[in-house]
Amino acid sequence: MNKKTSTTLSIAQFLANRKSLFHLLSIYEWWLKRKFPEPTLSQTSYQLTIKTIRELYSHSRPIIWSSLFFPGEFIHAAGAVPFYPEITVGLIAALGFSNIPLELAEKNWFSQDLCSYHRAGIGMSLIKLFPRPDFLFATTSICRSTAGFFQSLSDIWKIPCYLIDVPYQTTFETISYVKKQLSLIASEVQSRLKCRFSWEETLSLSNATVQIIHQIEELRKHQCSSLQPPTKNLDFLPYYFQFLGSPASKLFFDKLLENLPTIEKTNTKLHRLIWLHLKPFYPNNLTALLNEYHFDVVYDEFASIFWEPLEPDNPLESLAKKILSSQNLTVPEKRVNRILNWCEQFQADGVIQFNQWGCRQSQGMNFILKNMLQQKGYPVLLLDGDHIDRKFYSEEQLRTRIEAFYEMLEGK
Amino acid sequence: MNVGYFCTYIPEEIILSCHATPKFLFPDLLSPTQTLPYLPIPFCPFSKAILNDLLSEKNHDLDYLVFGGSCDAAKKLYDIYTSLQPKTPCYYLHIPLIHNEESLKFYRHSLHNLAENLFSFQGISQQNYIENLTKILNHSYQVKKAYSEAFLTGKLSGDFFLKEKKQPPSSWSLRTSSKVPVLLIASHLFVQDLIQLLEEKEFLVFDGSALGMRRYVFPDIEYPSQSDALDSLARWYLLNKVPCPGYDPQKRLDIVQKFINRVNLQGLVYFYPKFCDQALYELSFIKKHLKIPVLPIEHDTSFSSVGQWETRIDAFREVLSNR
Repeated sequence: MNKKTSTTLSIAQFLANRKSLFHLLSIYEWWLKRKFPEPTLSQTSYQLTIKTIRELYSHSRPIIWSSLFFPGEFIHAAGAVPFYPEITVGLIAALGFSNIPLELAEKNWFSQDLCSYHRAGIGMSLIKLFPRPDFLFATTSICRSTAGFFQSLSDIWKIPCYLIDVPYQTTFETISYVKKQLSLIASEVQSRLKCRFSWEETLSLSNATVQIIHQIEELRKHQCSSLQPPTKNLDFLPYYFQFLGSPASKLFFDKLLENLPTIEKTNTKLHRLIWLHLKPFYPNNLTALLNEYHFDVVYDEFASIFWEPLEPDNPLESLAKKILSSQNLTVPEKRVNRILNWCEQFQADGVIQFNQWGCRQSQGMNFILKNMLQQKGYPVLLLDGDHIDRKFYSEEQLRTRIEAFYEMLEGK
Repeated sequence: MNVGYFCTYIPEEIILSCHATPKFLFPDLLSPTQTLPYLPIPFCPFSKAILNDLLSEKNHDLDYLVFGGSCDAAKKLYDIYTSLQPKTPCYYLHIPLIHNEESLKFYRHSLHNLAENLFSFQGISQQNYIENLTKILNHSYQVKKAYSEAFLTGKLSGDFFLKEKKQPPSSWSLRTSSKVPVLLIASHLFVQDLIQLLEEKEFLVFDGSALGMRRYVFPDIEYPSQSDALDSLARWYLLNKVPCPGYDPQKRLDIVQKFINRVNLQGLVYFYPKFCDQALYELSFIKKHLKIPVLPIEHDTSFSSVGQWETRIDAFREVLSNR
């Protein structure tokens, strides 16, 4: 780390720990609201981001960090502010700074072979640039190394980590097991924060938001509506996870539905794709390449609704089922059946997965995934790389693979 | 009936109680050519080695397989094997990551399901299975207690646990040796080779691998009279056994630290499989908290790096000698 970076980091650390400074952001929020009484989608998103930064760094309410598949509704119902480090490192990468926390994590013996979402989250915690957590919640659904990540965070921040152990099957017993774990955590939160969970409001809000998401999906099924540029929907992940169950998420998807762009008819045929897993978030050429080769991403696995509607009068069981439903993204038969269903409904021509170097669960399924989808006639492209660590990015390789896939689809 | 398994959280007592023969799987040196189409490069070498063995001629005497663990590699190994060999009877046992009364109940329930599967497959009655389990547990408790006490007081070193016929307790004694005592933390692969290599370099090795301490050492094991057999078994394996990497890091560190102090160990050799997330996280935790020198050595599926390992072990020997 050079002297300039080191000085910038020291200033950032100094500022990040000045709560009163972030309280002042409320004036800026007030001004934004006055200036843009009818905000567009991007203005709405910007305003929500500023509000979240204020809430997190002024620590006006308790802050709960959680792993991606821990339901945000639980945290909103407790009246706390959710913080999802795996999502936030995507933003850090997009801003072009992920190399700093990644390097720091490696210096502290967190190997390059670990998932870079987790390594960057550890690095950001080591330099104390993330807002200090009051609680750490994680589930082992989908990805077991999340547990190692959160155990490391617990060691860095010196606060206990509450893990939800998620079995690999959904049965009456596994639902009850996960529900009991949630119940223990709820009691702990209730006693420490002296709060009452507002289940009815939060879960109803989550269900209403999901209804809007389904409406957007319906429009995307038709060839006239599209989210541009391709994979753009993955930039909206905070609204699918972190903010779900809050008014922010509903407001955002309302705006998205209003503003869903339509595609102008041209003579060029667009190849419709289902996108699996996530994508590289650092500055890169992926979307430009997808556009260049006339690909349109019509559905994204990680922005899919994988659970049944929540039941406000049975909240913990309902959330336990939601946690277990994440098996839809990792148990091969369940995952492949869903993808095949999307291929049919969204009239997809093929499937792309951008592999994440340190992600064992997705890469370990590549053989089964590719085999089963190809048997049903859907071409699959598995791109290798990393979503956060730019070291593993090769533009030429990416171009060659996408070009070859395009030629294959053209030849079909 | 031969039942294959490789996870140290799977109690062999259940398999024995169903009149079956437990076969603990740990592959030999290999080049896992059979797994190339099925598993990606950045993937657990042990899973590759196991899959290679299962798909090759070697394990054709296995009638039933029990997969276990909760790591992503173990789950994907199960998924791939069952998709390739759908006719082989298999069972996936979820090992809870958290340790409390709820997880204990769930683990007990899972063990009961495993037993039900096995005794139905064998065609024996539940009554017969329960009677067998009770008998087996009495003996098993004595063995586990004896091994645990002897190991944790420094009486069982070298490749004791790797030998098919283990020496009787009368021959166990505290080693007084000029060799440098170290703990070897490892998974299943190359354990025998590494113990041999370390012993050649004048180390007194205590086997903390999945074939040694993690499988045979149960600190604080108890078997109260009148207790339910399956309750006790669940407690032994989930709460008393030395945890594997990724399971309760603090408890694992405490056990290792206590053992280090008691036996006056000079160093720790951390021999870990490349791409094993559990080991990678544990390594950073151990490097941060353990107060004795740690030598990390990474391995994949081949023994070809032995030259490099030797150089690093020599350097480690010098570091310890100069302390």
